[in-house]
Amino acid sequence: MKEYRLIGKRLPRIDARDKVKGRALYTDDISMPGMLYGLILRSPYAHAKIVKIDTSRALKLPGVKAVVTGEDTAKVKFGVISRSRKFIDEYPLAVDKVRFIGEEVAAVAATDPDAAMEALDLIEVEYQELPAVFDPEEAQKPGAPQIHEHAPGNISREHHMKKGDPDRAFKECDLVREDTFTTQSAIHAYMEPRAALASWDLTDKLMVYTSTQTPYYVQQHLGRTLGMNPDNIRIIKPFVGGGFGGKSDGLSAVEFSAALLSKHAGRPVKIVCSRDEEFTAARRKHPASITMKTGVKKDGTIVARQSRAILDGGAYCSLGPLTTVLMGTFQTLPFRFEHFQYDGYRIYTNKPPCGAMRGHGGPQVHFAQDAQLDMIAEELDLDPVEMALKNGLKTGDESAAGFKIVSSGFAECLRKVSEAADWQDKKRTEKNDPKKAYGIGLGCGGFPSGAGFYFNKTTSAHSSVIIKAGEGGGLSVLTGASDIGQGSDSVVCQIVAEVLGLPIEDIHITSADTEITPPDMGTYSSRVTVAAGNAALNAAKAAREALFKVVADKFEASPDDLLAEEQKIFVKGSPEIYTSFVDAVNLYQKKNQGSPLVVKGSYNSPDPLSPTYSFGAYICEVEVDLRTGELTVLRYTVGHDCGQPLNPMSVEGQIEGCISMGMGYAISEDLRFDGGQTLNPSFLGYAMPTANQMPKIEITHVVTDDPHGPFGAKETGEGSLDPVAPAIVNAVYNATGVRIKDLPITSGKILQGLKDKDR
Amino acid sequence: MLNRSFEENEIKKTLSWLSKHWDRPIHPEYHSASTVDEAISMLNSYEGKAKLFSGGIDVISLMKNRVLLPDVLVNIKPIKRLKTIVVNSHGIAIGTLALINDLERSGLIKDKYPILFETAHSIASPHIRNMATIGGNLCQDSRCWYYRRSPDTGISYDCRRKREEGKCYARGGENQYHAIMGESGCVSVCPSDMATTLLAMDARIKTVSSSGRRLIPIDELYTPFGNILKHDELITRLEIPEIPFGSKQKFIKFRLRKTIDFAIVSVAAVIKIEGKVVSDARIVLGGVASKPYRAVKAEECLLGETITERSAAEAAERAVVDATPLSKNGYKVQIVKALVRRAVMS
Repeated sequence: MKEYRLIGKRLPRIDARDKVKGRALYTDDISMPGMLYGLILRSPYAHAKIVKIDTSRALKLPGVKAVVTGEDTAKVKFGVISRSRKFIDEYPLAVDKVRFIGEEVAAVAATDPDAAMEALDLIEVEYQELPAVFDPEEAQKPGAPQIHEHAPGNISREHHMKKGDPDRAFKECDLVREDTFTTQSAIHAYMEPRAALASWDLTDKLMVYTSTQTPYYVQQHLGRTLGMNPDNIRIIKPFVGGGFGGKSDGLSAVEFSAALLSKHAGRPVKIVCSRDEEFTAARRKHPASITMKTGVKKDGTIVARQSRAILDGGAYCSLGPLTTVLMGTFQTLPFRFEHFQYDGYRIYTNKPPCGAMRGHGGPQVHFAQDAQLDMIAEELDLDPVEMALKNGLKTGDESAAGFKIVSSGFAECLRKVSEAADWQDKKRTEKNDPKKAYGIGLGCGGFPSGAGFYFNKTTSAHSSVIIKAGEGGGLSVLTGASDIGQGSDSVVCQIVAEVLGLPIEDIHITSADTEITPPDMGTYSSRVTVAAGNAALNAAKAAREALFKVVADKFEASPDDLLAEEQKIFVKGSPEIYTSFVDAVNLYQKKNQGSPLVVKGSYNSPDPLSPTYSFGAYICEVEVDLRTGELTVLRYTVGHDCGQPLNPMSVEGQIEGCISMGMGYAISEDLRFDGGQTLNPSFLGYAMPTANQMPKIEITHVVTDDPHGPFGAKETGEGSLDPVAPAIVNAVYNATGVRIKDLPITSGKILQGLKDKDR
Repeated sequence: MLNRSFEENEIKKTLSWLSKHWDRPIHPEYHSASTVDEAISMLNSYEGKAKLFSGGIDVISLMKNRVLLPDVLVNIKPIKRLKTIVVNSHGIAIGTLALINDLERSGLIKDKYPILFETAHSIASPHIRNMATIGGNLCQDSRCWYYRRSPDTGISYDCRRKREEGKCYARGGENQYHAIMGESGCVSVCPSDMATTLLAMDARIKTVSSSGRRLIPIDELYTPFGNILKHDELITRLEIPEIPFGSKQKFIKFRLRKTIDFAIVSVAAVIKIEGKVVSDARIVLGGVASKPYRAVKAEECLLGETITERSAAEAAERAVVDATPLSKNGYKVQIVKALVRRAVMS
């Protein structure tokens, strides 16, 4: 591998100091003169007609400056996947009907939060309750309540794909297993709740600060729903405290209500969601029921897969139609098989809408896939690692869903972790302690580094970057990429600094401000490092080319022979004769009648699915208390191929974060319902792992040089989640003989499993 | 500045408007009491519409969820003499306002009453232990999801715990954290870890009210719907007898995350051993009933026995003979058995 000056180095984030010292401003930290505080009134019914809303009492309350309802809106629906009309199914404020508990019905703005809260109680809404349905199986039955007129049978999306002939192939298999796996309702639980601050100027231009992953989409969808030209809207993403897919819907009632209230009141309006609202009414992960059938040869070769998934979609589309597709395609990673069939159904229910959450369908199907392959390996008396090695996708392969693998370090990941975790020995350890059992399990993953397709109709590139040189030698970098804590600002600076031979401190980034920065589709789909990184790389190369041209003229050399290093430009082999970077920039301006050096770069995936894929193999070790069913995760050994890690500290942070999130998914995070009502909307009721539950983590970077990624880098933020939960599930089986097919793994389930086994 | 005074005026206007036009005060009145008598006379004069307040850990969260809507909060934090902890040869006397953190930090308690230290250390998080008082811990309300559900983002439940004619929603619903012992209209459990341990330590509670002083054994404090304290009654002190030398004492708490969470099941055991045989045993279960549950049958079977794997297992079995689990909490029976066994063997 090539050695770089900055790439691949363990660098602190450019915003680390600001964050640690509390200087970083998040949306709620920002205030404006005359600013009002907004709150949202939510539906207490899972399914009801709105007969009448009377806001007069609320408006009379001193301090209240505006109250808005669906009647005050243009009644235009939105949907983040706006390419298809069918997926545009939601009003930002309910019109005529509510479909889930927590749906936004009205909003108020007042001079202080208490008055706003009192005003909510004074809004009188007359509802006519309708029969509701909460179970996706029930919702499909004839006679079930219809949630949307456009969706008979409450089918929000169905997706079918087929390759080869699985039915015939199963007949030729030595072993065919069919199992049904189910997963619970989980939620992002980002640290910063959604928040927006909106204000209008006197030329009817709107500015919104918002905690979002996708400022560009917010601009577009806000324009659409407010009935105005999106170009008159400026969206600024300040520092954001996490999203994990929960802030990627392009628009939320929070932004919309703040904007509309501000318009009505003629003053800036800020809305910050409470944790209760976030747990009750924000997007969440799809609970799913997955029936998976896999056929293999005696030697473990996977031949065919047939699967059917029912997704509990909740009341609106959100990104769910895509989840329905991805739960099919993602199960073709990281293994190769020729025959494949998938039938996915996303069903509307009267529950809060489910959308994208880290891994986006992957955690559900990878739980099913890895647990089932573990069972198959046992039945055939094969080692799961050997079986994974036999079936793993290699460079040059194409997965059954058409993912073209241009670089794969999967086999090396498997070999490295198997050795580092002492897999062979531990796997075979006899279990004869009646009190405690130890187990070890494997989870595998692969993930696209950004989707190659668009959600909306646009001619914009997925990512673009503009670079503007200052006459002091610094570079301003403008990017639409949204740093929500994952570190994209740092990575973009790092790439530009590397290409131009500058210290990272000379790169000045402005990101995610739609007025200033070029369009970028946003932070989702694990796309930012590859897409925005490549756009930054292209822009930096363009800047270098422009500078090399003027310096080459001066040196009477060919631009191809020049190098940019340590703030100097010189001919290869003669670093002592150089032009400083500052001089080069000023030389450029002189030669161009003072015109500043401004260049741009863009990136679109060469493949409509994704440019490239990451891989990972995770080995988990657990301890199970056989008398209480208490499960302790002891250790993860991780092998991860994200191409060339641009900043290993950031990559490790992502992996550690995924392990925490995956452990929560596997063990303790579970939103419980009474009909359509979330019962445990708090950090006490929704049990995310705490720091003291984190196991030892050992990470091996398997470095591959990806042909598409910037400096060979691939994704790491989402794919790292997929193997976490199944590795625990398989380790629990190895320890206890209890096979969990229904997440989460509670002590109750382990105890029941132990009882059933003894029978 | 202009803005600020403008806003303050508006707030004042809001308050005066509301008090004229609305049938309930928007914020509870807030009073401070600097003596016990003062606190009681305030409680007495508001006839049940006032609530005591010190750490505020439970009261504030109940108010936020609109389960509790007191007209008045009576702050008793200034009553300094209720903060003291005295450890002497008779045992321990703990003022009701002693912080959980004070119990955790006391070297004497840690040395002599490790069960109390273990319990204090297991409660919530350091931040909460710095605020929460022992009296508040004993008087905290049920953590049942139905009972606590805020109406702000949905509907609150008009349940049996709130109203006599109400139904218990947990009985047929999400009852995985509810009671496995006892029959009552409300199946939620007493969330206090302190209560569990204090019962094992045979503690008594001293109270004062307008009708005089009381000394209440801790297992008489709770009812299925709360506690027996009158509206103007204040816990002043806890009295814990000395644990005889040579007794074993153990608190074990089983919960979801090994920190922060309330007990799914807990066990507190104080077992006196004389000449290798058990001469007295107090084994108390938490998280299984509307009050700390004394596993009398388990205690009885240990009396006169030496402690062995067998007698511990027998005690564990006896601890759950009266269990009647609900639809989703049968697993607690197993856990009780494991914890009792472990506590006895410790």
